[in-house]
Amino acid sequence: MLGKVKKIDKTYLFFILCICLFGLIMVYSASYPLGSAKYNDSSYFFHNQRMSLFIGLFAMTIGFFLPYSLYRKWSPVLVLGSILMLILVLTPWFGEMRNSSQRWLQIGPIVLQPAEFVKLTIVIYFASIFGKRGKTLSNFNKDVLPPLLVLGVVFLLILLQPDLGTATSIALPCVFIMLCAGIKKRHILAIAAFSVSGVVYLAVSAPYRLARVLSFRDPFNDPDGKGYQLINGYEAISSGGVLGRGIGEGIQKLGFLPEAHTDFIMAVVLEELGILGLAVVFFLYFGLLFKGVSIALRARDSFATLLTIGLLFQIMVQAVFNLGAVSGLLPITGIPLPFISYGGSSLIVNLFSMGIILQVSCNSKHISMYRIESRR
Amino acid sequence: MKRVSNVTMRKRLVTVFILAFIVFLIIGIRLAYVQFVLGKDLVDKAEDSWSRNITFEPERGRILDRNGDVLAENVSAPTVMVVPRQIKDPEEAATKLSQILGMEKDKALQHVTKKASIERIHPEGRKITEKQAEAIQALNMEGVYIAKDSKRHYPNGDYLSHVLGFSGIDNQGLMGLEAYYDEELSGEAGSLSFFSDAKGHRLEDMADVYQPPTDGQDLQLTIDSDIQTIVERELNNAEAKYNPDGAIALAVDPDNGEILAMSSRPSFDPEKYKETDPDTYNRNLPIWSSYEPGSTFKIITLAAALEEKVVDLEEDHFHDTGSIKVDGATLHCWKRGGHGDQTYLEVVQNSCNPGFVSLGQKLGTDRLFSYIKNFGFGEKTGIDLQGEGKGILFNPEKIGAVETATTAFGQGVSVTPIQQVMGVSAAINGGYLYQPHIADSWKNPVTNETETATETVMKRRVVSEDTSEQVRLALETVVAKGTGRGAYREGFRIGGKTGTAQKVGTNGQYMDNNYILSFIGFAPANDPEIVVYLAIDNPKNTIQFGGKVAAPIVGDILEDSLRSMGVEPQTDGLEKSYSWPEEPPLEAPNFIGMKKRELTEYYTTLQLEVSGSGEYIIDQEPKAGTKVEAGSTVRLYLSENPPE
Repeated sequence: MLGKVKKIDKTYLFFILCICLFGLIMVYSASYPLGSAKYNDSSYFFHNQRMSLFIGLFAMTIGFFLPYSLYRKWSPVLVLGSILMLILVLTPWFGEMRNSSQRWLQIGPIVLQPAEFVKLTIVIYFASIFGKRGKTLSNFNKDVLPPLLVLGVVFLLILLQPDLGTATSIALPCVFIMLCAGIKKRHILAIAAFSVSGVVYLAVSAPYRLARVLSFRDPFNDPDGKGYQLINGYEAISSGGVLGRGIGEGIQKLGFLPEAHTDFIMAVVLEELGILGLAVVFFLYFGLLFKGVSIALRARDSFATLLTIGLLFQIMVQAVFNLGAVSGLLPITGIPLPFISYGGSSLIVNLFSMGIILQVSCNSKHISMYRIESRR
Repeated sequence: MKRVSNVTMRKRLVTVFILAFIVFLIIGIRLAYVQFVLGKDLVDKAEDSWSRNITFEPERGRILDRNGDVLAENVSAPTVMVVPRQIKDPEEAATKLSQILGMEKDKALQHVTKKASIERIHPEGRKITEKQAEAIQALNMEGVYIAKDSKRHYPNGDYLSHVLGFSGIDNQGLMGLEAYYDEELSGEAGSLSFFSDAKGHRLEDMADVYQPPTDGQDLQLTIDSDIQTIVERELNNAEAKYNPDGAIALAVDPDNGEILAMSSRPSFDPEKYKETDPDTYNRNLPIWSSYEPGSTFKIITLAAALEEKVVDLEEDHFHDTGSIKVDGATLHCWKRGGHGDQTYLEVVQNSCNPGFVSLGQKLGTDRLFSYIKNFGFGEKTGIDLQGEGKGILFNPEKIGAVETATTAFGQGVSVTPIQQVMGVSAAINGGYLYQPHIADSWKNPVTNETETATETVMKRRVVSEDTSEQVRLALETVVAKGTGRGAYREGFRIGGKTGTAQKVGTNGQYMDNNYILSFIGFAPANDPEIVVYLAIDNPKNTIQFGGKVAAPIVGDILEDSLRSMGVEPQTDGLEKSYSWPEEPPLEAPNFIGMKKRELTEYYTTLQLEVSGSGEYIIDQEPKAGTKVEAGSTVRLYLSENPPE
């Protein structure tokens, strides 16, 4: 057990802790006006987030020590369980409505976001399906379609909440798992064509989605309505400059920028720390990405590789969706910035994923790079 | 059934990694773009529409005269602002607001339900009275705010209105000094930012952030309101007496170019600018209008001739036959039959046109025009007011002998009053051409301390002190003995020159019986403290001559101004000469049968009082041949038809 801890990828752990601490500080800075306004306690959100971080670090420890081979065995059960939760959340008895979306599941005192849970289980499921020893991927109907159908069900259930952003951010890592598993190029093209037509259909069929798509194109069309958040984000970003106003000194979070501590925390980072803050955040994410990919490459078996890829890109897809929205390149989907945005469920689940990746790093083949080279 | 190789997996993974890297890069670049390029533009554009700030207008700087008397100030006039999303009952709010503001309810309802974060009730809710503001505050309605605001007040009404100008409903300077110095007067707006969530609901229990406005600075002018008052009074009198088309008065300190007074008619009340003809407030005549100066321009010719030493005023003589032939054209003197033999000093005193033609010829075209340019004609003086005119000089390539000759006595050029005043100031102050200015200094509105002071700008030296002294003395004799006697005031040593310029009509021809009568005077002649220019445009019921109409007014302005400036009367001035040289005690001439326009040659010897209307003189009192003293009054009666 201790030997395992010794082999842990310390750089990776360092990156994780850095980004979590950075996030905690930024949450405090971004949320204290809202905290004192709503709860008469400027550190209300900070305390919550700190508690979530402790729980998250505990979850990471569990993820680290719980052998990942277990997930492989239980993956069908996990997926079925999470699908069940997704159905429950849509029912009036268990699901809770917040912000006109049904995303929360109340079981006794515990409020859960099943989507956060599904994020993990679907990746585990995909990794276990495509990481089977001796698996061939030549037959689309037999090898590729069944997991895709499961993904489709999950996707549609989340879409019913309705939450297109989360649904997409869950689907994309599964696609990356399939890609890396080595499915045929023509299968890739078929899936791509299907997804694109599906996305187009969904965007056009639901007016609120279309409106969101339109609003992100030109926020100044409706500066008081749909464009309000993005414009205030722009204002925050543009006032940051090179070094920013200084941490805690931001103005936009003082009630002007909605969701300053959650979805739009990057705008606060840019306002208060300027382009320097952007560099810090990007450095940390690149660190996680680069080290994560090398851990995946060094993993002992292809299940571990694909699981690492899935979990890693889950984080990256969320980051891209969030940053894309803040920068005005993508529609605003309400996806938090992993490790940095305020939000307990997301932080805990993400840290649990990191625990799994750290576990993979310990079981890695030490000279894997060399061995792959020598095989050629 | 080939097993998927690790190599494929590795290749794909690297591809996805590179893809992710590129996506991050694009987002990073985009964020930097928003930060440094896009944000500023878009935010500026949208700022007003989505800001949740309540702006606090800065207090506009006051305008003061040189002694600190207030010429423009602010009075409180609050503005109603509504935050539609905070209004709980729009119907009720609209009803109550419309009652207090005296507007239609439907219109008020539109404002309180408008999809905007903050809405001004424009125009009914702007610049309201204190009483209305109190009534609205008493409603204690959520989402309705009273913002402090002020409106401009000009305590003296139409006094100095062209110079002061006015500012609009947003306290933005629109005309005059209000526009010219708008930035300095405006200050910077402050704001009260209140905390709100995305829907604009106000968050309670949260201290609002207040950024106080920076008030505009107080502008102290070079204007002396004592002199300005004298000038306004004289223009009012002249307007009442002569019912002219317009009038211009300008007083300047010749030693530094400070404007002491500036006024013109028609005038307007800045607080009622909306009811005023834009042509009236757009045209600040003393600097905007440009016309043939007439004889006042002879001062420039005189100064040039003295500086170039082409004439000795005492020694050189000129014989005036009543006209002079130049290049085939005959140029007449204003006096029929001419002035006969005169020294050049008498040429100046008599304002003899052929005499000045000869001075122009002695100088030559090049030298004359180079002096005219050096005295500042043909270019803007650079005064700190909007809408200055440039005047028109002859195209240098087209100047022939005739143009030189007419220019020498003030015809064929077009100049502005301010150019004339600055040019004449240079001729009499020792030769220094100054840039005129009206802003004296900027004062801190709180401490009243001077923050910046305007510096005197001397453009160039045009003539020597010696020349300048001769000009002063010559012009003093014009007032004591010549055409300017109407301006003579015992003990004040006034110098000056009359001007009578025929106006050019829209067809480019001179208009009949339509003159601008002017006089430019200064005092004391030995060390001038003030230069006053006055022009009356087309006075009615009088002889159209500058010495008759304009000179006495300038005399009054100078005398009263010098008294208010504390300049002591002197005893060593020239005695006023009551008899015209060469002319014995008079017999009243026979006016009967003359046309009105032929009267001009008698203006200085006799006071003519005209009654009736028409072209022809049909009767006179006293009768022809009666012995009269020079300067006594002869009554004349006019008729449309010649006497039988």
